[in-house]
Formats: sequence, structure tokens, C-alpha cells
Amino acid sequence: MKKTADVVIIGGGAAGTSAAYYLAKRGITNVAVVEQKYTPFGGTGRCAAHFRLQFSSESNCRMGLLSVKEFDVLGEESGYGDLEISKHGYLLPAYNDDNIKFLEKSVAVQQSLGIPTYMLSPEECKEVAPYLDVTEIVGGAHCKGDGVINPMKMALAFKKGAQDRGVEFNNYTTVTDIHVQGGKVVGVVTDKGEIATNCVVNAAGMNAKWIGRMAGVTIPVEPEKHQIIVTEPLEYMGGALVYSSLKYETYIGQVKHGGFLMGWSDPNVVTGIVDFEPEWRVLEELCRRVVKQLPALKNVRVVRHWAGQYDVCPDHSVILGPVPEVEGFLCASGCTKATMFAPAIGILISEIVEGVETTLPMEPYLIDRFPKGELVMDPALL
Amino acid sequence: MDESKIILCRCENFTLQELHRLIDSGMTSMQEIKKDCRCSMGPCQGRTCKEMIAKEIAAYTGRKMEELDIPVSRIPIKPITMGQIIGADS
Repeated sequence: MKKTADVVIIGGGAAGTSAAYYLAKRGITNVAVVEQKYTPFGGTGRCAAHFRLQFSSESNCRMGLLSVKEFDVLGEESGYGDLEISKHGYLLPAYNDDNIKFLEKSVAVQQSLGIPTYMLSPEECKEVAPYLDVTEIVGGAHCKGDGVINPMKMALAFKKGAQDRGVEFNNYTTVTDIHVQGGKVVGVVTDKGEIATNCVVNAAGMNAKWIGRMAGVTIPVEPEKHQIIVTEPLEYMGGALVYSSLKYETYIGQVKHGGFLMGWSDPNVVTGIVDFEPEWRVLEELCRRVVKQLPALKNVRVVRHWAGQYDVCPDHSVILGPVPEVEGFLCASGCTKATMFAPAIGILISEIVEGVETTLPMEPYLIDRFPKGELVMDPALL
Repeated sequence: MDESKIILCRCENFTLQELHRLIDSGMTSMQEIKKDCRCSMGPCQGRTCKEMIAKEIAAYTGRKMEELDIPVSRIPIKPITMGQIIGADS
């Protein structure tokens, strides 16, 4: 392991590997990534694999736009190869007039930024998601820019691209402390040794809060359990992911490998606890809600059910960039969206480290929005 | 024997040649290998192949089995339909 580094990145998931990749592309290669397990272990390795542009806030839409542009080239540019991307879109069904009005408002924001989202009739909903029962649907919003990616391959592509340019990855290495002197970061302590550095990137996902505490920084991110199931592979159909946040609080999408992947926002979940145990209660309720919407899935087998942790914060928007307490401590928290926003997170972090103007205005992403009370509420989030 | 014809994970057509390629590229744990190539992620959830793949990694790298971070097999124990799960099997 390096003894000194220009940047130490804590976390080898989507945010950490992306930060490493875009730093390396800028020529900042004296970088060490420290990961407690492997790439990608945490949220990225357990996530729902989809990305989207359909948000209600401009700041989230911009993160999505910047990221999707990079997804298009990452596989080749990194030298990793195919990332199993398909832009089958998200379909957000509406079940009543209020839902339509809500969706129209979001679509207007998206269209003003050039995002190709359109309102569809029930018949058109059936065309983009042929397996969906549209009996109770009165319309929907669909965007062809949304889609699916293999998150494992995405993180491994970032890792390969960074490693090939000289970044050091330390797997199965745990950070135990961060040294701060005179209000500045001076080093990172791990169970395999110490690295002197003036810049730490906290890309620890569900563990962001505890990494913050090591440096005396308060980060309002909590772990929150979320469970996902995937079915046996079927022929890939290219239909839209059905994101019924307005009624069933579920998402149902097919990944390129063929499995239908789905999850439900369990209202009984307890925030603040790290818990990887999948529960039958959730499996049964999720299946009930899914079969109601996609009756054909009734006869499809579930092969895997698992639990991961979201990294939630009060407004569910990303937390990026410097903190007021300590110089040289940078946040790179995706706050449930690290996979879909990974490229944008990496690009912005690399620009902040180099001290150049950022591609996107940083205000909505900074941690000081919380004490200021300037939360970025986005009603389009599940 | 031709390593490209020796299949370790039948569900995902994962061969001995592919395993050796991934280890040679720097991967050391079975978890990392699984995330890259999907071995042990098919209908059997590794119940058929996991031990064999782990033993091959141990033999090839000269490391102990307990150092390999072998993934757990996810539930359900056997694939069952969503209809069976909600008690509405056709």
C-alpha cells in the first residue's frame, strides 16, 4: 500500500471507482482507493441496476443527463467492454387525474432541459411495456433516455480504467481513523497501514456517516434496508421498467441478462440499522404487488432475493464536495443514486480536486444546504 | 484438456479458462469473480458449483479456502414461481 497519496478514496463502489476513474483521466494518478471488501460490495453490488432522467428537480435531471452521456462511452473508453446497457426507458403509470397533473409537471421540467420524456395514453403505455396490465391506468410518463446497466460491470470498468492509469486499489482493507491537524486532513489510517494525504474522498455509501465521524464531520446519511428479487432469465424483451411510485411503490424491470428485477419500498423499514437479511414478509408483499401489475409474471420463478442498504439523507439528493468543518474532506454520497449518477459524481469530484470550474453548478449538491434549510426536495423519488 | 471446454458453472456457462483469466487479471476473491462473470448466480444459486469453483481458485492461487470470501447462496433454496409465493399458483 502507498505511504503517501494525493487523494485517498474511501469506498470501492460506484462513487469511489468513478471518482478514481475521472481523477486518473485528469492525470491525477497518485491515488489510493481503500475498500473494506471488494468492488462492488455495498449498495452498488446490491442495487436495482437502472438509471433514469425522469426527476422533478433540475439538479437531479442534470446529474442524470451528465451520467447517461458517459454510460454511452464508458465500456469502450475504459477498455472493459460491454456494460449490458439498454435504454428501454422508465414508465411511470398514472392511476387518476391528480397523478397525470403531477407527472405533467415533472415532464415539463425534464423537457425544458432537453430530456425526451412524453406523456402516453394507456394504449401507448401498453406498447412500451407490453406485459403491463393497463386496465386501471389512465396514462403515464415515459423517457427513452432511461435504462438499465450492469452495475457490477460499470464499477469494474471504472476500476480497470483507473488501475490502468496507475491508481492503487486496496481491497479487504478497513479504514479505522482519519487524522486531522489544524482543521486539515493529513492522513488515513487503515488496518493495513497509514497513508499520508491532504485529500480524502468519502465514497463509503451506507458507512458515510461513520467515516465522517472519524474526521469530526457530521454527515446526515443513514443506512436503510431495501430488498430486491430477480427471476430466472427470460428472453430480453426491451420493454420499459414499470415504476409505479404513485400506487404500488414498486419498480419492475428486465435486465439485459433476462431476469426481471423488482423491489418495493417497505414502509416498515427502520432507518439507521445495517441489516442484510431478506424477509419472507417483504418477498410475499412484493410478489403480490407485482403480479397485480404484470399478471404473466405469476408463472415465472424467483431465483434470488437479497437485501442491501440505501444511504439515505433528509432530501434524498446527492451530497458532494467540501465540508465546512475540515479542509481536504470531500463528500461523494450518491444517497440512493450512486449507481445511476456515478459518472457525474466522479466528474464533479475530479474537478473539485483539481480546482477547476465544475461542469454543473454545485450549490444544490453541497452539504451546507442542510444547516441553511435549502433542501432539494424531489417528489419524483420513490 | 482444453480449459475452454471445462464448465464450472452450468447455469452461466462459466469455464475453467474464464476463471483462470480473471485470476490472472488480479482478482483474488470469489466474490469479486462472481460480480464480474455471474458464476454461481443462476437457478442453483451456486449450490452445485460454488465449492468446485472455490477449490479451483484455492488450487490456482495457493491460498486457503477461508481466505477466498466465498459468497452465500441466496434464498429461495430452489426457484419457485411468484404465484407459489403468494399462494395463487395456476
